[in-house]
Amino acid sequence: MSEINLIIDGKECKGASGDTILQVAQKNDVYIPTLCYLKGLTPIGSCRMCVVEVEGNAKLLTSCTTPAQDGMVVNTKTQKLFNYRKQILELLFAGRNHFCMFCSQSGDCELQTLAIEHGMDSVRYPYLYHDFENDATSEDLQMDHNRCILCGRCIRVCAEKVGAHTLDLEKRGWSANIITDLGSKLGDSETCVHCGACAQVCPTGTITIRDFVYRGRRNDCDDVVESICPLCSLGCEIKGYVRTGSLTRVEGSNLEGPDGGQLCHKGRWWLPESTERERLSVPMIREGSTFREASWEEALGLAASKMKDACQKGKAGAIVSGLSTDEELSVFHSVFKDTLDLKYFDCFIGDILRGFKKGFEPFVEQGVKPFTAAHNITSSDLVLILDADPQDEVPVTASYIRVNTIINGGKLANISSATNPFKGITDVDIKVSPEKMFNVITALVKAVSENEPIEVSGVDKTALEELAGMLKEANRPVFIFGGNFASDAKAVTQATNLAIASGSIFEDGLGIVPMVRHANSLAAINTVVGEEPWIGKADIDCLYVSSTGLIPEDSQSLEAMSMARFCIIHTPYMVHPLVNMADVLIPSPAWYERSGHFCTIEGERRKLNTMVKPQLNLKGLGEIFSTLTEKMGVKLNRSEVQPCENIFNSTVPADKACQVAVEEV
Amino acid sequence: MTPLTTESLEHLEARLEPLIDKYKGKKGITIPLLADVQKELGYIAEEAVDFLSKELDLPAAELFGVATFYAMFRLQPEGKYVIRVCRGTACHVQGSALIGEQIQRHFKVKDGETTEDGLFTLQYVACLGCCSLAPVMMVGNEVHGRLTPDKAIQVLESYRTRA
Repeated sequence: MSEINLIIDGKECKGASGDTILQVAQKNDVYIPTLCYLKGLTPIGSCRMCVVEVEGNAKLLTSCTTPAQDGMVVNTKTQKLFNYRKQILELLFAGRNHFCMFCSQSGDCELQTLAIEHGMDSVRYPYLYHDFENDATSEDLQMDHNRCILCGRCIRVCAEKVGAHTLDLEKRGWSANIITDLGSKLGDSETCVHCGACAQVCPTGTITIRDFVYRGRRNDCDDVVESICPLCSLGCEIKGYVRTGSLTRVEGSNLEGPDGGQLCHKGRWWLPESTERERLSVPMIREGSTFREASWEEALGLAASKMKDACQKGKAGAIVSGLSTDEELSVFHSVFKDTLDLKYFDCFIGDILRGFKKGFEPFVEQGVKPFTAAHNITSSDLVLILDADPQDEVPVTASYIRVNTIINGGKLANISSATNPFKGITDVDIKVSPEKMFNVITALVKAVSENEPIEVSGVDKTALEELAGMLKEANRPVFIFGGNFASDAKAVTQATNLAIASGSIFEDGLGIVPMVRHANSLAAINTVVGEEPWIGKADIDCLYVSSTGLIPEDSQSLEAMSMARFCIIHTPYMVHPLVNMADVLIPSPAWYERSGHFCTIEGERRKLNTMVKPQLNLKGLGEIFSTLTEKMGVKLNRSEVQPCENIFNSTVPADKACQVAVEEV
Repeated sequence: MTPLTTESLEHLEARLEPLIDKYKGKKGITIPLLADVQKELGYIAEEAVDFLSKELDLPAAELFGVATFYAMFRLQPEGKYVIRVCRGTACHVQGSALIGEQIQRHFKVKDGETTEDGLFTLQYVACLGCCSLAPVMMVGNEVHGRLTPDKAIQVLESYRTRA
């Protein structure tokens, strides 16, 4: 892209051709007020705040939509523009009820900030607006249309980034308004995914998040911490607003990234809620049906003696969370593998990671990276979902899928044993029982690579043929492997064969996006995921469980805990039913009190920062385990394991991948 | 938006099928699509928008936004009698606003809406061209002039008895 030179307010500015005037100005630290413009969204130039004067052009131009041209002389701060902008603000204020003293966002409002900036102390126009509704039907969001300036940011983020397109504009003139679906209430909306992106981008107090209002304006917060969301393998970048030791607001911060700074329902609500939950503050020991407080010494002593006995009998086990940091997983590996050498060591829902690891192994041996970055979904012409529920497992990928189908016009196909997660927008939907899943994929591989006729008993034949045809035609298909599906390593291998047969080749690897709930997926695979599943099968005397308490524990692990004769639970929260299983409870710092690193399955290392300083007198993992091993009378061996070793790294391009034979089941 | 009656709902998919074939995979179809729906059903029905948005991968909110923007789209079926109340200058001077208000109160409808029994649709129009009869309204094809609010209601009630 060629470089262009502009003069903005007498300052020489450089930009790239294709930039708008606003982009060039922002790159060169020239401030132009904006309201409807938001980085990452399509500029629409509707608010007219960003107007500028270009020499040789009699009109005022909106800088957010006007392409910059080489040699342009732009003025952004003339008296004429100032008066014009002030007038726009007055019209906006006269357009609806913008009386700040009654608004929860006063002090945190872009409209108010601009009015103050322009010295707007009165409105010269009569207030002719009529009353609009305050839609309070949604549990999470409030939408007070009286505060709306119709900037359309919510509509654009919902359509372009989340892909839900729940919101749009109805009617015109004075009656123009934001609507949900077919004019229904927000709470009744069928398409809304409760991600709160509309509230994050709203410049006024129109769309607000109930949990966030009156807990501190952005400016009043003690601290703003950049970190990452620990709730799934995507690890979205977040900005946490901290006030009086509590996380009052969470926002996505990667505005210019492919996700557009969106978060999902989990990140938006679970994270701030987590600072308000009941904490486990001291070690506790079970006494009958209740717990009594105990000293660290006593609790760890009891845990050590039970663990020691169980180790001698070979009946000790440990389940740790895939949401732990690299550093914590190294400690777990040191203690349970290198020191105690436990046979039973795994992470929660380890079957998914084990399935992916084993299923991808033949391709990793070929040097091919068996998956691609999730945002590549938006450049695909066909997405095939294999027994996945992206909206529940890795919700932002669901946004990518919707955007690709609705906006980019890509095709969408679904094969699943449960209900179709994208009802209404799928082109082909095939219902398959879990036992037949492998056979269906095998038949598809044969149909795509060898043109064999496709037939699986009990499965819709025309739909299968249509899907095979779509796969053959597709240039860049993407395959979504669900968690349930991944527990079967053979199915993963066979589905990877299908990806290769369909020519699903991306720059960074094969076009596969695995749905992994573990935030620290790669490190979990490298450190704690065992070779064989044992949870729920092995006879355990003493079970150590480390949970972050952020996501509910799976039923299989809970069952294993209730079966174990003695359970040591290490968790930050009084989370049920987890604590009900405990014989000894050991408190741990919550996610917002910890720092460390997460490794996405693609090998990207991301830093989790401490949001809130620990308030309780808690011991760290290292200290707890050196005491525990000391009491057990063993020497703690420091682990050599590299949690972040990228075992899926590619050495050859994805188009070199070959299909591998899979035994029939 | 008004839901369809059960009877027409059963035939809805069959009636809209040709539209799907006509518009599938094309761009810039929102307005012609909505116009065709109105041609087929007489108005833009909620179920029709729901069905088409799923079949054509169009966001329902977008279709609704466009349907409410343009005055030519109706979200309610038209009544048996269309009441056109003249709001031109001559009629305005003779008090047509009061006549419109009285009709709104009496039949509990607003401009552009249809009464619950499906008998009347109220429309305000700019001028009917018979200013000498002001204030004037048309019911169907018949013109009624020199009205008062009470007289207008009497006239309209006579249509109800006739139906």
